[in-house]
Amino acid sequence: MKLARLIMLALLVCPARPAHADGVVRGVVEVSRGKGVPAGAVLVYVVGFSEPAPSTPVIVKQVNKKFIPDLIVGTAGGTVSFPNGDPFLHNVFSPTSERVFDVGSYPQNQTRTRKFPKPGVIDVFCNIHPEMSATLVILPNTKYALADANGRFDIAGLPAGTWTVFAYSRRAERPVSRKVTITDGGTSEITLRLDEVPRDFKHRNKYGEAYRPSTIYNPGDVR
Amino acid sequence: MYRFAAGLLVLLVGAATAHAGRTHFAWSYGTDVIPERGTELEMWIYEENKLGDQKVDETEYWWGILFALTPHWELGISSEAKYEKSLVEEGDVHFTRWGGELRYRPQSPDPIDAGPFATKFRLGVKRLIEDRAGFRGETDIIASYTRGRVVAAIDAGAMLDRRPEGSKLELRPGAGISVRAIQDVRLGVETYGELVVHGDGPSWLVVGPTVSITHGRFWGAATYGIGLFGIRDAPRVTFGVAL
Repeated sequence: MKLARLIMLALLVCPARPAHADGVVRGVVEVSRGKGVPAGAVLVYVVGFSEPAPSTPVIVKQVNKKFIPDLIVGTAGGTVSFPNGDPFLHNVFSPTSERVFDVGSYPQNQTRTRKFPKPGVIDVFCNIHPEMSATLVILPNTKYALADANGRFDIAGLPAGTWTVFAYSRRAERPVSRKVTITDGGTSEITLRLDEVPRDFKHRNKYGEAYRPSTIYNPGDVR
Repeated sequence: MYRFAAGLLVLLVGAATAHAGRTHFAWSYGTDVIPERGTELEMWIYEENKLGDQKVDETEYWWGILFALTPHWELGISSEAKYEKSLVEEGDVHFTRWGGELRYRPQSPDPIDAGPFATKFRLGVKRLIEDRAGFRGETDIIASYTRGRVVAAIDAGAMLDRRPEGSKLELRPGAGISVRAIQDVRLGVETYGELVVHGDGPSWLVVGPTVSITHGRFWGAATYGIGLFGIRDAPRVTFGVAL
């Protein structure tokens, strides 16, 4: 997991400015899942140039003690909001050194927002509910797509040039990539093969401690 | 001794994710606040040795519990005790004050969202346990600047003891600079003084090295203030544990 994150981080931080942007890359991600590995979102993104982040925040809901979505994509310089949709407290935090944060505990129908200035791969957890985990991928641009159920993706608006296309999922053994050359208005087709492995996303709380069993101590629940 | 040092090194290098870290200085307040709805126990122990002409020795204790009311506001409830001895008085331990205080950070509590400059305002009101007609007011305006491993802070503090027999007003300036050394251990230097501008009592100023650490729920800072005038030395330990 750590190796995959380091590879991704190294490859995310290499931007340049786009020129004319009307190229397309499309294709398929063939996912090889081990026995018992559940299907999850597969993210495909293009790196090599940077773009400004959208002004609207990325929304990550907390519903039924889950982050929705659990694979979150943002752009460097943008913000991510964490609205609480559950009738009890949540405490979103990240111990990832690229962007340590802790929004504290807050109730239903309130939201907390944080800025993410740099590209990186960031673990997101709840300090009250150990079963809650998500991965936040902050990209240098907005050129990404989530593959459909058949693994197909389509990313438009690419500038001409040679870029690297990545496929990544939360259970990927490591991200996979292919170089593509985009011409003005042209379309490139590629196939990526991604190996997924079992992961349980176990983690420690924001103090670096094991979570206490929820049957004994779960201060966020008021049900 | 060697095993102790090796154990300490393992503890520091293997430190879990730092979370707490309320101040990097022992005498001055920091600008961090507890995450929303968090609760923290905080304690100060400090000495003022050979203070003024009467060579007063004091050891003071401050126990408090702090509640993060919102992302910006903290409420503290505290109790204080003091041991005091001078050339003309025997040593004596007594409770001195209890009271409450509010701390407010106008910027985002998140260091990335807030940017390098941050401020905090503190206002405390204390009851004087042995002088029921009096009270103490305390205020601090703290500003910090963070750049990479370095944090610099200044603390413009003031204290008013209001008593029927006479009041005392002190300015309590502090400043420091702290550099992250390894993991979450920081080294630095800080200065602090208590300057009487109205009423009786000696003024004093110290400067000295500071070490601070965060580890999981715990944070702490310690300094050994060496007297520049009015006092021989003023060591202080401040620490907190998130509940």
